[in-house]
This record gives sequence, C-alpha cells and structure tokens, in this order.
Amino acid sequence: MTQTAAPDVVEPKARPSIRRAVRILSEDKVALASVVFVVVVVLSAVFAPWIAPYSPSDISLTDRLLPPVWSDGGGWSHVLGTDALGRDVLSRIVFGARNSLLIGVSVVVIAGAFGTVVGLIAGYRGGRADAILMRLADAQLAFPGLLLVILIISVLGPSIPIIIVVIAVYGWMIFARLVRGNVLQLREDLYIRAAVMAGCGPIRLMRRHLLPNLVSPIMTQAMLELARVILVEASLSYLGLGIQPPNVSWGLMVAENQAYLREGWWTVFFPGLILVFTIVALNLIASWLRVRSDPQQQQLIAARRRMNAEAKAGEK
Amino acid sequence: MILFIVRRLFYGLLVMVLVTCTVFFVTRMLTDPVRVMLPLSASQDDYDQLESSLGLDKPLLVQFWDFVSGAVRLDFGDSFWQGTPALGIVLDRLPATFLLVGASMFLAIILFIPLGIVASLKPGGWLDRGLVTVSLFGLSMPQFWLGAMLIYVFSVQLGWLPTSGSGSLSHLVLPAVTLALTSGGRIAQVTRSSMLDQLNRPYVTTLTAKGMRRSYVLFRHVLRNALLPIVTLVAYETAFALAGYAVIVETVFAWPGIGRLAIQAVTQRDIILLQALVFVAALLVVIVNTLADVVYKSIDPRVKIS
Repeated sequence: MTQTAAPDVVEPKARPSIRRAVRILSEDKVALASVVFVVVVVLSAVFAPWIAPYSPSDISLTDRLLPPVWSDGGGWSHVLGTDALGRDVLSRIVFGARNSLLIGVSVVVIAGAFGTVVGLIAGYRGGRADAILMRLADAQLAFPGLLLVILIISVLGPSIPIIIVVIAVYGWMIFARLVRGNVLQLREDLYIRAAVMAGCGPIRLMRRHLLPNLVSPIMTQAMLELARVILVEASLSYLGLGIQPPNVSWGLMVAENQAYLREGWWTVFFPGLILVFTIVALNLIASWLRVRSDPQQQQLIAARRRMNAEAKAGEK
Repeated sequence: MILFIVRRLFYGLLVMVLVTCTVFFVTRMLTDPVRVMLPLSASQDDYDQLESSLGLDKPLLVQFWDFVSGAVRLDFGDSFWQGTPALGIVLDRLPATFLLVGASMFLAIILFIPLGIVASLKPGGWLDRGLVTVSLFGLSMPQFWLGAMLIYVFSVQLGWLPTSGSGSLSHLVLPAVTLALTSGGRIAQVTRSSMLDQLNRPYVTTLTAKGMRRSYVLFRHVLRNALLPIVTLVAYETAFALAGYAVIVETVFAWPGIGRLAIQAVTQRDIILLQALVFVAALLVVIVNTLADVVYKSIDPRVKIS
C-alpha cells in the first residue's frame, strides 16, 4: 500500500494488457485454474440458451431419473442425467448459473459501492460521523442475519430485486470497515498530506489519491463477498425463499431433488458440486489477489524465485 | 471489569433496540401484515376483525408503543398458526437448537483446534497443506448439500444412521457433524495462523534457549497466547449458528429447533411467530457476544474492547 505517486503528476502506468495478465496468472497454477473455472461459469451463464442442450424446463416423463453417462443406463443424450421430472440436469445447472451470478454480482456492486462511500466518509472525516457510522455497522454485524432476512423476504415476497436489496443491506458493512481502516492508514501518508497542503479538495483527494490505492483490497473483498453471496442465495433458494420455480437455481435444484436422493443421487450431487467449486475458486482468486497486491509478499516470492534459480544454476 | 460488563450490556441493548425497530419497520410499514396472514379469499369482515384483534387499526405511533412495550415484557402476542403465545412456542423449540449447536461446537473444538495446532508445528508439511485445502472446502461447502450427501452415504447407502428427525443420539450425529464440518474449517485455519504468529515470537526462542521442555513451552505459553482469536471465533461461530444459520441444517434433517420453526412459520404466514423468533435469536446473539467479550477479557486483561 505504499505507492509513491506524487500528487497530480500523472504517471504513464503500464496498461495491464490481457496478455500480461495471463502471464502473471500462469505463474500460479491454482489461481489460473480458478480463474479459468470462473470464466467458464460466467460464459455458460451468459450464453446459456446456446450452450445448454435442452431447455431447463423441458419435462419428459419417459426420461425420468436417467443416470449420468458413465453409469449403467446413462447415455450421451443426458450427460449428467435427468431429474424426477425428466429435466436435463446439465442444462438446469447451466441456466442456474445465471441467477447465482446475477444476484451475486448485483449485491456485491451495490453493497461495495455503498460501503466504499460510507467508509471513505467515515475514514476521511473522522470524529462524530465516523463514530456513528461505525457503531451502526458494528450493531448490524451483531444482527441475527439469516432469520431477519427470512422475515423480510417472507413478508415482502421472494422476487429477485427484493433478494438482491435485502442481501446487499447485509453486506455493505464489511466494505465500509475495510475502506475506513485503509483510509485511516493512508491519511497519514506523506503524499496524501502533501496533496491536502497543495490545496486538493476532498472529492478530488478521494477520487485521485485514496480510491486508486483502495482498488486491490476492495477487489479482494469483493471476490470473497461474491462467494459468500452466492452461498446465501443458494441457501435461501434451498429454503424456498429465494429463486422460485419454474426459474432455476442451484440451491433450488438440491431442494427439489432431495426427496429422490435414493433413486437419483446425481440430481442433488452435481448442482451442489458446481456450487462448491465456484465458491472455492472465488476464494482462491481472492487470496491470490491479496498476495499479488501485497508488496511484502511480492518481495518474498521474488527472493524465493531467485534462490531457486541460483540453486538450479549451482546444480549445473 | 464491572464497568466493562455494563458497557457491553449497554451496547447489547442498543443492538436489541435496532433489531426491534427494524422488525417493526419491516412488518408494519413495508407491508400490510393482515393481508400477508390472511388467505386471498378472506372477506373484508375477516380483514377488519383480524386487524382490530391485532391492534393494527390504531395509529402507527400507538402501535409502535404497543410493540416495544410488548417486546420488553417478551410478549409478542398469540401465534396466528397455533393460537398460543408465540414466545412459548419458541422456548419449546430452543432446547433442540441448543443441543444441536452445542454438540457441533463441541465436535468442532475437539477435532479442529488440535488439528490446527499440529499443522502449525510443521508449516508447509503435508498435514499443513492438507488442512488448508480441507478447511477451504469446508467453509465453501453449502450446509444443505453437505447434509444431503452425508444422508446419502450414511443413511441411504450404509444404513447406519437415520435420515432425519429427532429422538435419539443417532439422530443428532449427522446434523451435528454437518454443522461442525462447515464451521470447523475456519476454526482450524485461525488456530493454525494464530499459533504460527506466536511461534515466531522471540519469547519462544528465549524459553527454548533456557532449556524448557518443548511441550511446556507449547502448552503453557504459546497456546495460551494463541487462544484469544480462537475464543473469539468459536463464540462468533456459535452466535452465527444460533442467529439462524442452523436453519439450513435443521431443515435438511427435519431437526425440531427454532430454525425449522422459522420455516414452518413462513409457510403458515405467521408473522407474529417470526417476530418472536427474530427477537429471541437476537437476544441469544447479544448474550453470546457479551459472554465472549467477558471471557476474552479474563483470558487477557490487556485487551481493550471499545
């Protein structure tokens, strides 16, 4: 977090091209695999109607509970099998990704933007505004989250916009605290103080000097939150308070098929497995981002690499 | 210390006031509770009758006063679904949730804290790397899916344990394990990093150089110092489970606790029961958090919690 950009001198930053990003990523196989997985999920969500072999609501009672392709009785027509109504499991998973990502990304954008603004104000202004905002955030963290969410959604009715708003109301605090903590530290940095002395107004200071330094911690947190929100959405849908049939969601698929566990384990197993992989991948990307953006860690990695190179050179 | 406890209690009170206001706002101002509770076919007479019996025809401020004074006396009115006081129904279901959360926290503590300790002694070793991976999957695992998979393996395939319900110890195993596995990942990770943090401190070198036995240094000094974040996390996980995250496990296994009651209240459109549930859960969270702060402070008197 110790960037030494002089105030108001625009340094020609090397634009991170896609090729460069791929090169950096390829140094970390785990992170690369995670990014590839998430990209595949995103693409299949966006292009679901073209990718999915069937419509997610195609009912075919003659094809009930067909097993996946590799077990006896399965066939290539339904790679991951069918559920109790004869619907194709793979197609439903592909379409389910849409709702998970739609809700996840919307919540993170709304909560992230609001939390960042609150955190900037609290950290920058300090004093009473800070005390009140942070008390509020603390108090809200101590709320019985899920039960209150259940109450609110059951009263207002489970529609996608309501789900997004309700989860977002529960997610802004974490961004506010993160940004506030970082701003408190940054505020003491020399270049910030220099900018203030040079007559830089609060809005300009926040936009040009504070926010650029906050990008990487916020991105890291956003990835973690995305993982958490996808899990919350799936849980709400499982409980019957999220996505409603005939719409599709991974959590809903598990709930609909739990009764058929004995006859068709795959109807429950695969939606959950994709959910786990998505959440694990997002967590891994978050920890990769954290390591990448921490200069101390970067030095450690560079040192280790040098030592390895020297050791190899010594062997020869 | 007394001042400290009083301040924590005051803070808890603030949380309860905020929860009460939120519940009132959501149930009375964002929606019409009478409409929510009545079936669509209800007549205007039914509507008026229920409205006046709930006191919802009074001005909003009077309603708020009734609501707050009721909450203070822990009187939320009669459940729409069962016709008996809502609080009584909630209290009937509480022991089951306590049993489930208690058993799972016990499992998580005895399994995952030692695992975290052992992993921290050889950072980068196979056990350590394995633990990091396993706990990552643990905390990424949706409880409803893990529960369903455990049912498939241990109930459907092996037939060792009942699929759901309650009544005997064997009914408790699967739900408790599900809850323990999902919170245990975080507990193991925090134990590991907290231990590592302490093991790198100079005092460990000093004590070892003085010729103290390794086990003595570990258990008397390192572990004691490393315990703080672990206590916080266990308290947090407990509060988290009580605050409603047990809802999912209770639903998967049809465990008759407050979480399942919440879902039943939703299906019965019983807002009064839901209000009582949220209030009781909030109270539990406040109590657990306050207790955790007190324990925290008695382990380490240096701690200052604002």
